[in-house]
Order: sequence, then structure tokens, then C-alpha cells
Amino acid sequence: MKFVLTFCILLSTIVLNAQQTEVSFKLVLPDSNNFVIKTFRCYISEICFKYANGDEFKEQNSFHLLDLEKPESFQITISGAPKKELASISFNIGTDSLTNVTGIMDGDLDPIKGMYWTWNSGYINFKIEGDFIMESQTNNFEYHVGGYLAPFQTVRKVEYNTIHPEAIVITIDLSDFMNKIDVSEMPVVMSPGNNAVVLADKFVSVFHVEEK
Amino acid sequence: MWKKNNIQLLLITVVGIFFLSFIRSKSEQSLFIVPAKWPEPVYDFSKNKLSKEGFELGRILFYDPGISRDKTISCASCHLQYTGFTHVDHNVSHGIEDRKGTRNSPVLINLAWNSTFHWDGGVNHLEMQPLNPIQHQAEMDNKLQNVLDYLNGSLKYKALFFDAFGDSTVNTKNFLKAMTQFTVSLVSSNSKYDKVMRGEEKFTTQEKNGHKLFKQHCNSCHKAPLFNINSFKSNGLPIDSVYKDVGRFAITHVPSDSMLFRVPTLRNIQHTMPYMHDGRFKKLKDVLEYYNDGIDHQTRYLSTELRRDLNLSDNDKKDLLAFLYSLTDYTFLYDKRYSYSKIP
Repeated sequence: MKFVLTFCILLSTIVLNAQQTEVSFKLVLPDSNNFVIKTFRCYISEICFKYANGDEFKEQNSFHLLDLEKPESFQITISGAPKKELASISFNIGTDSLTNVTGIMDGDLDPIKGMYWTWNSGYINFKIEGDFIMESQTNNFEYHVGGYLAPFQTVRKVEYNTIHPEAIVITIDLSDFMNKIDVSEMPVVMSPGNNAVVLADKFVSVFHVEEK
Repeated sequence: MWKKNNIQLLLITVVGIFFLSFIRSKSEQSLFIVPAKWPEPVYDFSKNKLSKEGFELGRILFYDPGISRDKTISCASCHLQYTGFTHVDHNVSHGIEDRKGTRNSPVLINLAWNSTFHWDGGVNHLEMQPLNPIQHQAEMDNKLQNVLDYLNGSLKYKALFFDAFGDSTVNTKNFLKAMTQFTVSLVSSNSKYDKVMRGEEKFTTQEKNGHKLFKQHCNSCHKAPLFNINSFKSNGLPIDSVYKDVGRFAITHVPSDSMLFRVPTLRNIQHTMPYMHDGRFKKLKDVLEYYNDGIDHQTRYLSTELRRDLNLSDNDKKDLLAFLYSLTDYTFLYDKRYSYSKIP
């Protein structure tokens, strides 16, 4: 009986794996004369495909950490999504509040990834660190943006219309992001609060889906 | 004939496995017993099923200074069993290289019923708590990766982790789950008060009167049987000049959370001096005097329960203290199951 069950699982996995959707993220870096990005990490979670016929497909255990130091992390392979006419893709930039109160988790949510606050339990939704050059002087900036308690939630849900079911490319324009904020006024944000909310709002505005 | 024997063998094996797993789950259940008439714990045991192996591993880790950067500080350094798993006689604790912290070490009692941890409730899940002292520069000053490397570098630890989780590779998840299996099991429910409630013993006249006063003046926040609630309250303590601790506000940035702190349990309070988030009161008597007529009732965001002086007579104060002493649970303080253990 166990053997039959294992065989069925194996077979269905092989069949389902044949249906793979690639969701890629592309980072646009700013002009290195003005900004140098040294660290970029960002959680993408709750990926969901919506189809023209109204159906939905939600990725299971959907937590992905994009990390500039790991280029392969920018390519997310989702198995099992049906090959129907795709209407839109939605996901969270960051982690939802339930994830922040659930206790220890592994994979990309492992605290060893350096994206978890210990003293104020919760995930850092995105981390951007680097230098900015102003009047020939080099200064540092550090943004650790997180927080799930009202009124300072920093997770942002996005939805984009898309018509390419096999390969979806989403651009994150850090050049635009750095230009939108006054980094000299606010070079360090390391805890939940108003400033983190401001950054989260600006960050979500630089995500765009590529239309081929 | 051969086929029939094979099927019989398979059947016996399946039934045997089912039977054994049933037995095992029974012993897991008996590892954490909710005392009669107590509320259900907050901790979700379904994601971290208790086992003897997991508990013993957590206990060894609790007492192992190898977790700290220089191998001198263990959890037990600030959480001593005999004094309610706190750092008695220290207003704030000291950790690695004698570095001083900023807050009084809380007791580790009945944590399964707490929804948040730390005086400011900054930690929202028991499993995540050990990350704090491990990485705090004044406590253990270590990196999580170093801890995992240390544990993975020990064949004995790997064997213990295998026994507990079926995986000899030590990762963050299993490390924290093991620690939690120990800390969540620290249950204190056998004080004189508990025995009186169960009809096994009787209060003295003093304790009885003290109990009456307690129910009148203290129980709304220090609610039996846990003797705390999962809430943040201000008891009007003026901000201290050294740490300038603003309590819950530091976490939420909500103004009305200024100077609010987690309500701590009063169980074993006789042995857990000094008192308050910064240990400013050395004696329980001092705490009583403060609540009696020391609170500035104009304090912003003061708990509504504390808007009036208590006006206790000297005898009332003695009786109330007598009652508080009845919350001492020597079974818990000297329970060998929670005492020092090391790798066999």
C-alpha cells in the first residue's frame, strides 16, 4: 500500500513538475557615481496567479529571499501552475503578519539569513545598504525595513496584469528608488515606525512587470 | 503459503508500528500536563511535539556555556533554577566580560501561557527568544552561525539532535525547538497556594486574610492561577535616569504605551528579588509600600486599576506578604528534572 502511495506521489510530482512557470526579478542598479548598492535582500511571498477564467493558483509555502549576493535567487521556479490564459500575478513584498508571529521557520525564513529582528520579533521585509556620494564625500546608508504591527505595517501586496504565462519578469528599479528618497535626510532606518512605512511605500512604487 | 505468511508479517508490522506510535504519543502528552482548572496554554505544541529526547537536549543546551562567544555564559547564568530561574540580587544582569545589561532578568515560570516575552513584549514567540541572549553583545555576544558550527562540531550533540529530531545536522529550527521543549516545560503549580486550592492544605489566618486583600487589590492584573495576565500596564514608576527605559513604547511607538511593561507573574516572588523591570525595589516590602501609597496617581497612562492608594494597615501589609510567600513552589525550585545537565 505504502509502495503504491509513494509511486503515485512520485508520478504526480513528475507530471506537475513538467508544468513550470518562471518568475524572474531584475534589479536595476543606480548610477555608481551617486550610489553604490552593497546589500540588497528582499522577501517575495504569497505568489498567486489569476487566470482569465477566474481561477487562481497559489504557490504553497511561498517564501523567497532575493539576495544580490545570490543571483540565482532572482529566478523563482513555480511548479504546478496550470497553463491557462494568465490574467495577473500577485505577491507580497515582504512577509505577512501571520508569518511574523508563527515562531521558528526554515528555508528562506531561517533567522540565519540575517533578515530577522530578535529584540522586536519580526522579519525585515527588505534590506538595502550602501554608499551615497554627495559633494565628493562618501557616506553610508542602511535601510532595514520591517514591522507588522499596526499602524506601521510595511508589507505591501501588489498585483500586475500579465499576458506571458511561461516567463514573467518583474523589474525592481533601485535607481528610481534612491532618487525618490532623500537619503541624506534619512540615511539610517533600522526599526519599525513612520520612516520604515515611508520607505516601504516608495519601494513598492519601483516594482514593474515587463511587457514584452 | 509464502504469500500468506508475508501478508501476515506485514499486518503484524503495521499493527505494531501503529501501536508503538500510539504509546509514544501518550508519553509525549504526559510531558506537559495542564494543571487542573488552569487555562489552556498559548504555546502551539502541535508544531513542536514534546519528547523526552527533545526536552533533555534543550536542558543540556540551557546549561551549556559553549553557546556564548567565549564559552563562559549559559542561559543558567542569568536564569538560576533555585531562584525561580532568574538572576537574584541583581538589578540588571551581567553577561560576557562582566558587561551589564539594561533590564532585570525575568523569571522563567509558566512560559507556555505567555503570549509575549521581555518586559516590553518585544518577543512574540517562545521559540524565537533564545536568539536574543545569544546575539546580545552584553549577554552571550555570539553569532547564530557560530552556535550552529559549535553544535555541528560535536559528535555527541549531533547524536542528541538525531535522537530528538531524526536529523543529525543541527539547524536553526531544531536548535530553537529543542531549547523551547525545555523552557516551555518549566511549570510551577505546586505552591502552598495551589495545595490550598486543591484542598490538600489550609491557609494560616494571616495567609487567608492576605488572600482576601490580594483578591481585592491585586488580582485584576496578577490574576490567579498564573498570577499574571498577557497585558502591558503602567504602575506609575517614574522613568529611570540610567537606562531611560520607556517600556512597550520602544516596540510599538504608540504614545499610550509609554512606561507600560509586561505584567510579570508573582509565583515564587519571595525568591526573585529585586523587583520591577530595572530591579529598583530590593525587597518585596518596598514593592508593597510603593503600591500602598507611593504611586503618583497623576502619571500619564497609569493603569486604571491603580488610581487609588491602598491604605493598608501594618497588619494588612504583613498578611499580604504572608499570602505572597505562599506562592513559593519548592517542588519547582528544586525539581531535579529542571536542574543542571550536561552531555553524557
